[in-house]
Parts: sequence; structure tokens; C-alpha cells
Amino acid sequence: MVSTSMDPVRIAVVGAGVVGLSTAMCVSKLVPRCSITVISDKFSPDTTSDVAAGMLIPHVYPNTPIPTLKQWFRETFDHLFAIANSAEAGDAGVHLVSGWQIFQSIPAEEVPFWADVVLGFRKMTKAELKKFPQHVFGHAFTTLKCESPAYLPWLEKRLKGSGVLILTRRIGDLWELHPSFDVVVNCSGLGSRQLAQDSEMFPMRGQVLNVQAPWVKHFIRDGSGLTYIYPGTSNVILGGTRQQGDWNLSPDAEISRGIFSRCCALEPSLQGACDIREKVGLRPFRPAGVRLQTEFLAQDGRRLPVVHHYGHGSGGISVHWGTALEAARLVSECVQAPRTPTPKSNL
Amino acid sequence: MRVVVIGAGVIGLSTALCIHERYRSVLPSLDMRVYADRFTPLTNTDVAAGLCQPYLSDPRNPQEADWNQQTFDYLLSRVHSPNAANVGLALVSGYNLFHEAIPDPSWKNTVLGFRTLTPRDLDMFPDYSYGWFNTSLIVEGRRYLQWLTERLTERGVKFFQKKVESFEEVARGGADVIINCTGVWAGSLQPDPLLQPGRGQIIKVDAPWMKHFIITHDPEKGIYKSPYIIPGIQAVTLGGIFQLGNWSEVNNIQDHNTIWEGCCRLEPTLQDAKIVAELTGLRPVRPQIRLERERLRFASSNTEVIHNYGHGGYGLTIHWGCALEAAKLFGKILEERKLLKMPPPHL
Repeated sequence: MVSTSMDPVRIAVVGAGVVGLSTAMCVSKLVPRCSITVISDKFSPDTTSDVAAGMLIPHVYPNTPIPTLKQWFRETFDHLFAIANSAEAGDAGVHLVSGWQIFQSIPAEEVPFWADVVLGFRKMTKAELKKFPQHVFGHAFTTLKCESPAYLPWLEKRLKGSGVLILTRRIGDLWELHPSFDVVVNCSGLGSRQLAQDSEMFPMRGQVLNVQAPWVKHFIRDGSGLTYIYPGTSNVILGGTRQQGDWNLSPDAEISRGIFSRCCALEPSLQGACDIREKVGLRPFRPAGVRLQTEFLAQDGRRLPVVHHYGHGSGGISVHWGTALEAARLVSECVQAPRTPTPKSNL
Repeated sequence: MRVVVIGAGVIGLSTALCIHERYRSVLPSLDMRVYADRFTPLTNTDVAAGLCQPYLSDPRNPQEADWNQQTFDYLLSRVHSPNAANVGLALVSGYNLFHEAIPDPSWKNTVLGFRTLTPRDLDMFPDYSYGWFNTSLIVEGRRYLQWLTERLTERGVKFFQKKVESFEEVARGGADVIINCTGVWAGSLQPDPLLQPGRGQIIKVDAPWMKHFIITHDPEKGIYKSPYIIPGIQAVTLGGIFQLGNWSEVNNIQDHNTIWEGCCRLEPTLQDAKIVAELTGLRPVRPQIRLERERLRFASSNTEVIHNYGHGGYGLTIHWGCALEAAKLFGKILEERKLLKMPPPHL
């Protein structure tokens, strides 16, 4: 570590999806006297986040304790809720939406852990379930939608306003950032398969349709998570798929037909939808869950502290702010005690 | 049997369709025409936000509560069909806000998912301390009138643009039954001191992130005088004007400011919304709807009038129940004149 206590700590954040930009934001607020550069080959609208509908409905990460997951979700919800109720909401692409999560058989857990984080959570009434003759049970609630095509540019604008530099570059190896940077924050999502040599990472391919159907004001999500209708500011997103290990970024026409048909079964008025566009995203899936860990890379006498923050799979937007706050804490610890490399345990 | 419907707003066209659907097959001689000086998009129906919601207090005529329910049930059964958007129908959820607790409305079980607001819900509306959340329907006036016009045209009903000066003129023209759906202008055909205009002004904005209706209530001011925000299929309607006795059909700048300030205070995200239209309409206010028969006495004429006007600000909310009632009255006329070949269809 070459910096003295007088020089600002030079931090590189790799990745400009929702995880990269929000982490840069949290670091800029938590760590004093640092200069931050966000480096990525892709920016909105070309990141994985941009394909996601951005509905705040959390996923369960198998090795993450529920209280931690709930905390991450709550922190993200509260952060976005404040934006949704401010004059920034339109620019930031964050708004409230109500709707239903429906099940074809009664789920083992009738009240999920996040029920008191969203608004107005309750079971659907019989009258409400009449809309879905194939389903026997459901949740009704109000949650948030965070649309990356607006949210990411909004975050970027704020970052630039606080002096964060933004650089378009493809990083092939984290050592490229040495010695220009003192700390690296790795938010490269699926890119970590290469950058962090994490062979556990794999894509969970998702295909969606963006359609024009402005009369749809409610979200509808099948409890399995495979079929969903998410109305947004400029379109309605219909989904979806979960294809493990599939790297193909080209849309598949038959899959599109299947998605459309499944969604029309839940919301017949979608048959009047028009301007249908297909999109594909590769969710950054990590079986062990989100990696929030400091690693001290060492090679030929060089040292490079790296805070890993990746592996959010299907749930990135739902927990991004909570995990970004945690990543910022790791960066802060790193900056304060650079010479005592105590291994941090994975969360 | 010549039937003339005067008025081409929601009341005129829906009553025409209801009668034609029920009686054309048993009355082959049915010749129905619609006379109006204004057609969509120039009717009062076109100005209405279209939210199905009765007034808070019980109607003076208890039948109106039934008509509201019948209308809601009828529209709900159509909103799940593939062509719902074409009809102008959509489900929408939202908030009714008050300054103090009030009893639940009589229609709480007609709408879907009715509940009172939690403290967290109310955090979004600092000026209000109590409220409801429920799912209801919107019927977009313009689209619905277009759809009704298409259905009537298919059935061979003819439309004539003319200003009717008297019932007598229509009777002498050969009408056997006149359906009087002249709304706020009914007084020009037959004086009615109980009928007054309740002038309303609305601003339509582009705010596609608004997925909920928000209706505020101020008992001191009275109905519709407090800000309301109602999303439609394309645009969002902002309102909060109700001026009894004001016949002006021109937009007023002070009313514009009242609406804009009230709605932006309620929903700060609207500040950046683009205004796409501003309209004035005259609600046909009456202590209760006039829905009854009257026999006209001119020379040798044997003309019956069925009056169906005075629906205030809840015309779309109640229209189908009233149409069914008018159809019943029409059926009685046919029975009395022994015109039916078989028993009237079950209504």
C-alpha cells in the first residue's frame, strides 16, 4: 500500500450495473477522503440490470440467513421508497405498483419473510381469486419497481456530481488496476467467473417480452416465479425463463410464444398488446449466494485488496442497496486497516 | 316500433344498447335511433376520469346502490376478457384519503380487496390521517363510447346529429318511445328545478409511473372539491373542482391552479409531468337520478318517455344498472301495448 494518510484512497469499482453504481454511491458516502472510479465495458442500457423488470420481491439465497436477507431487502425498500415519494421519482425510474402473487396450490409458507417490508400485505380474497381460475391462493400487496434504464443513469449523474469518475474499459484481469488503485471493488456480476476466477458462477438465462399494454396497472406473478407480468413506466414486461448455464443472448422465438401465451392466460387483455420486443439477460447466479468478501490478492510482492460484491442471481435489484451498504463497510474497513489482512468470512 | 334515444353520452348509448340487446329479437319491428347534438369526444362522459366509485354516503334512493353494484359486477365480468382494453376497461387500485376516521362505505364489498390504510401507507400522505385501499375499475369514457357506438352501429341503430327542441317534435316525427338521456341539459326539454350543473375541470397529464388512484376527501368542502388523481389507460386525470350552478364550459385559470397545486402537493412526482389536455365538463347533478316513465299528451300522440338523467358525478359508475332499469320500463310498455310475441327475456 503506497498511500499515506494524506493522499485520498484510490478506489476502483469494476462494473456499472445496479450493484456497481450503488456500491460506488455507498462507498462515496461512507469512506472519507477517497477518489472513486467506476470502470466497466458496459453501461446502461446494455447491462444485465437493464433487462430486469426491477420488482422489489426478494429471492432466497440458500446460504444467507433470513434475518440478513430481510435486512438487505428492508434497506433497499426504504431507500427506494423515499425516492418514489420525492420529486426525483420520475427521473430515477422508481414507482409504487400493486398486484398479486398467485399460487396453484397453497404454499408451505403462507406469509413470506418480507411480508411486513412491502406495503399492505394480505391474502387475496375469494372475489379477487376469481380472476385466476387456475389458482387457489394468493398474496396481494404494494411494492416498488426500480427501472434500471432510468435508475442507472440517475445514479451515474449523482456519482459524477460527487466527483466520481466513470471510465469505459474492459478489464481482463484485476491486476490491471494495480498500482493505479489502492482498493478494488469487484461488482462484475457474471464477469467474476473470469475476473475472480469463480468457477461456481454461471448464467441463469432469462428471456422477457417488453410490450405496450398501458391499461395493465397491476403486477401478476405466479408463485413459481416463472410467469410474471410487471407494468412499468414505458412498457409492461412479460416473463420469463430460468435456463441454467445457458449463455445465449439471442432471443428464441418459441420461448417468446410460450411466454406470451402463459401471460395471456393470466391476463387475457394482453392479447391486445402491441410493439412486442424480446430481451435476454444472463442472471449472475452463484450457488453459495452473494459474495461479500474482502480478498487480499498477492503476486510477486504486489498486494491488491479486493472487496468482492457479486453473485446476486435473480434478486439483484431487490437487495442491491442493502448489499451495497455492506460492501461499503468492507471497503471502509479495508481502507482503515490495510496492513492486517484478516480473512473476512463469507456472509 | 320506433324508439328515439336523445343523448349520446354514456347514459344514452348504454341504455340504447341494453334495450336493443334485450328486445330486438322479440320485437322485429324495433327501429332505434339516437339523436344528439354532441357525440364523443364532445360529451360530458368524455371528460370524466372514469373511475367506478359511488359517493361515500348512501344514496337517497336505495335503488341506486343496487344499480352501482350491478354496473360494477357487469364491468368486472368484462374486464377479464381479451378485448377489455378495446372496451376501455381496466382494473385499478388506489387510495381514498381522509382527515379523520369515517365508517366504511356501503360498497366496501362490491369493490375488491377493500382495507383501511396502515400507518406506513399513510406516511406517503402527510396531510391525511385515515384512508382506504381497494381495487376498482376504470371505464375510459371516450373509448367506451366508441365501443358502444360500434356495437350499436353493428345492430343497425342509426345516429343523427341534431338539437332536439322538444319531445313533441320527436313524437310528431313518429317516435313511439323516447328515451331521454339528455343529462345536464334535460331542463331545456322539460323544466326540472332539481337538476343543476356541477361544473368540473380536469387536467390530463402524461405520468405513466402513476399506477394508483388517489382521491382525497374534505367533508367541509364537499364531494369532488378536494384533489384527486386518477390514472387512465394513457393519461392521468387530475381534478378537484365542483361548482354547483356554474354553466361555463370554458377552462378557468384559477381552477387550473387549484387542481395543479392540490395534486402536486398530494403527489410531488407530478411536478415534472407533461400536460396533454385540459377539459371542462358539467356533471348533471340531481338529489337522485330521474329514472321513470312519463306519458306525453299531444293531440293524438301516444308517446311514452323514459327519463334517465341526473347521474351527477357517478354516471359511469352507475350507468349499466340504470340501463337495465330503463330496459325493464321499456319492457312494461311493450307488455301494456301487447307488442311482445313471447314473454320478455329475463332481465
